[in-house]
Amino acid sequence: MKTVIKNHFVQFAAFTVLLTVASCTKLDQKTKDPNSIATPQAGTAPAPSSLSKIYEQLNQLLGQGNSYAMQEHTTDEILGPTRGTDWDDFGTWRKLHLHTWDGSHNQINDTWNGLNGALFQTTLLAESTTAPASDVAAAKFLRAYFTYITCDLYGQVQHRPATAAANVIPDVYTRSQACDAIIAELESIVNVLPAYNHDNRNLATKEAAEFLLAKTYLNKAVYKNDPTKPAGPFTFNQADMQKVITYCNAIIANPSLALNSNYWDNFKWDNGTKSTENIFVRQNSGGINVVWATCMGFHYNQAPSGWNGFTTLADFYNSFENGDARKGGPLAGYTDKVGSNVGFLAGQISGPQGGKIGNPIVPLKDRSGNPLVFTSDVSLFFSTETKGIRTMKYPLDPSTINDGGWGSQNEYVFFRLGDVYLMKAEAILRGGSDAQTPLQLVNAVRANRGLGNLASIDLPGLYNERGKELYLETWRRNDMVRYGMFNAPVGERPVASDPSRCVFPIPNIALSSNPNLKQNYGY
Amino acid sequence: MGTKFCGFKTNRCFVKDFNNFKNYYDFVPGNSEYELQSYFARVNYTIADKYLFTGTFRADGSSKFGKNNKYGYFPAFAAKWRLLKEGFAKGLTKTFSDLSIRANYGITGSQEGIGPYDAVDLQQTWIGNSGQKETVLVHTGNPDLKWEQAATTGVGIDFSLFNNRLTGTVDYYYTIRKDILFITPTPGGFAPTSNWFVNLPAKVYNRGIEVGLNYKAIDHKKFKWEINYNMTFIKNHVEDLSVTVNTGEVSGQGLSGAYAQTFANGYPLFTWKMPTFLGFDGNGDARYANGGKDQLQGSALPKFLAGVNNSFTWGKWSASVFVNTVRGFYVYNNTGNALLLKGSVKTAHNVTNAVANSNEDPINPGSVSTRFLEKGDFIRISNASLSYTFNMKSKTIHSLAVTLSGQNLALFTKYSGLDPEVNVNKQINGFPSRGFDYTGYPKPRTFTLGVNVGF
Repeated sequence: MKTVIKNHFVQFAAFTVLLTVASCTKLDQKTKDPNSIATPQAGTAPAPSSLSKIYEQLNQLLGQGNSYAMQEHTTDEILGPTRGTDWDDFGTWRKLHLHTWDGSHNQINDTWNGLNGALFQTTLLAESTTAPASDVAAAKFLRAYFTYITCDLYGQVQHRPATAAANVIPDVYTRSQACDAIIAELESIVNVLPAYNHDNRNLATKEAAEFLLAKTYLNKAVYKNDPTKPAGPFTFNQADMQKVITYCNAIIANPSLALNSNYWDNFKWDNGTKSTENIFVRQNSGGINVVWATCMGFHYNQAPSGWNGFTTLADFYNSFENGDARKGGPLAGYTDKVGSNVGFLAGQISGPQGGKIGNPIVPLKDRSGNPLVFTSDVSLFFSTETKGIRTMKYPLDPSTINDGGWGSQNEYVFFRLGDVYLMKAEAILRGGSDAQTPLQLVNAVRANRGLGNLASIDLPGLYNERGKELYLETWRRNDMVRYGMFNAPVGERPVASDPSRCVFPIPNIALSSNPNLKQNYGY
Repeated sequence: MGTKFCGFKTNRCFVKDFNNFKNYYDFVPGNSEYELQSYFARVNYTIADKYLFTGTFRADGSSKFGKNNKYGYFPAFAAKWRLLKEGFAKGLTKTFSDLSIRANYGITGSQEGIGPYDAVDLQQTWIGNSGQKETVLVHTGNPDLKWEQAATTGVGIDFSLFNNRLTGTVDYYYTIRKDILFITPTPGGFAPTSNWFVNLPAKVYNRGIEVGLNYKAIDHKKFKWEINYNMTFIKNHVEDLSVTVNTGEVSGQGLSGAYAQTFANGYPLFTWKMPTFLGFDGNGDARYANGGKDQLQGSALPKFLAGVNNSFTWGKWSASVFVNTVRGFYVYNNTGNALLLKGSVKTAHNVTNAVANSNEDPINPGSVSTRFLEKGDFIRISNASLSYTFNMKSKTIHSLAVTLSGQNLALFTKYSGLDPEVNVNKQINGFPSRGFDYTGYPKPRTFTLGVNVGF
């Protein structure tokens, strides 16, 4: 026994010594290039990312999925049919077209996370006390844009001061509060931002802020409506419509902006130099590209080889008049090399032999060796590989296609002057006043699209015109809701959907991690 | 005293153990590291060779954790009571050569799974397209991160009967794992990343019984037959989980975004979640129960494991056979889901005979469902060997033995894939998965002829 006790004593003594040594050793995180620990700013907030990195948050708006899919697959413009073993994708595309999504939908969840990541990153710079004023103004514009998209899709927007710690639960703007916050933020910087001069089309400009202000005022009645009536009816305030007109006029007055007489100059690979309409774009650099806009519809045997996915709806395709440049057709410098039309692809499809640009253009075959003929009939659940008319909005530079098209320099358009003309016309039709008439504005757009003048224009007419002018530019869902058309039967959805579908649900994961969020009405 | 560990990219240390060469990038100089410090004390205490106590105490420190949580303190105690040393047990000594009762309690800590910088705000600086330095905030850190803890309580019996011919142990264990280091959603997703590491408020309960028996069935000088048997019953479930976690990405064309596994309160870890498949309708299109809604479908974790080894010695011959079984778990046949569909024929892929001749519609999508979820129960003859030892009289060669052995000799299972003992990593966003079969390599069957020469 005695020896045992002795041993204890020795061991405890050794232990005490070890603890003493420990107290002089620090266990701090050590980093090496390119990693470092962000220096805390005011409060516990980390230093913000560089402005160029914050602009990269816009990249999430490019791509065939997520916010793009939520704004487009839910409308009368496109759908994603399941083609046997292709494109089932857990029903993610079908649920968007059928309006049967819920809070567990993967793209609704991922989009929320992406937008909130952007809101977080923009907030750090927008509220920085040390960054240059021009960077802060640009960050505020970007925060307003991401707030707008989040408000439009989800009806609730999280916010938290930059000085708060990372584990503080964010507060939540209602849709009405978010609308006010967007307007207040943009009006605080609209005269600080530089004027648009074409070269700065990829940056925050006064005109980009004015565009977003016009958009917000135009939709204010929707965003301010009773949250239990997201599908309306809406009451458009005359003062708001007048604001839309004021901001649209300010944009139209900029001499660097004018409607393009060739619609496709706004989208094709040289739109950076050719377009005089694009107000705010994402330039192709550092891995940004628009190959997805081609591949989401192109067949495997076209050039570049596509994913044979999404199609337009027959009714939407048939709504175009012949001669409308926006419906597309052969495009010089493109179709002669690629075989494909631009706009919509229907009927027998041609392409370069062997899928290589430079080879003679021949009629293509499908994977079973039958003629590749895109037909307008398409089933959401059971489609074979040639069903559905495809879309082609961003023609790729033919000289890059043999390498996959990644090098094509198309700039992706967020805001465009054509939309400004139509927003202004709509604001006048909804009670605003201006020296120009809605008909003059609509006909000015039509004249540049190869169409004759209309004799009269009303809101339903303007709604159709917006569809044709702005298809696949992510405004259709927004328009359909404002015009009370979003729930109406369409394509493969033969019965009207519930009015609650006009707002997406808050993702289940976000609800469980932020108790300040409450699920939207009807979910 | 302090031990420096390699992060997944490091140029500070070299990996000495071949098994630690997990990925090629281990060779590439990198930029993360962390540091561990451990202190340890142990006390043994025995009274009259009857009562045995042992206590240990560890203090572990890791640079991965938040400022105030670097260290964790982990005590453990165990006691053993040798019953046969007691007066009242004297009558038992004829049959028993050992009979003891054990009890133990201990806490262990873990810092595995998290990265070196998960507790701090991490930024990276690169030269951008403009030629200027650009900094990006990669993630915000969780300063509250601390050691994960597992508290285990156990009791057991050791016994030895009939002159040590039958010996065995029976153990019951109960483990509560808390402060689990787990990747979960950031608050509302309002952060640079949608997930970060936290100490999950949930608890994972593991309990089970382990039995180990050794029986010398025949113990003659010329012929010996020894049986080793062990078995484990496992029960496992999760409680107090406040977030929904889906994992187990299903791979294959047309399966983007598909998952098949979840963690749910009251259910075992790695519970399957998918619609129930009811067969094909007249058109050959799949029908699902409950309108195709997801349902919980059992777990990838087994409920029962057992193994038995028989070894024989007869003069200079010896032989052994090891058979094991794992039961009560499900495997997701992702290979079948991705490749073995009627529609695969159209795209010129080979399928099995059964698929080619099924009445499935060629444009029926291969959605995730119990159509591809199968029971994984199996019995395997894992190992058998036969050897002969020669009588050596030579001075140069002292001993010579020849052994023929085989691994993975036979597998008995109803699972339709190659092997149900499979676990292809299908984690999503760092949430671990289990029990996926996706184009994995099957276990090889190997035969070895060995000659052992002693000089």
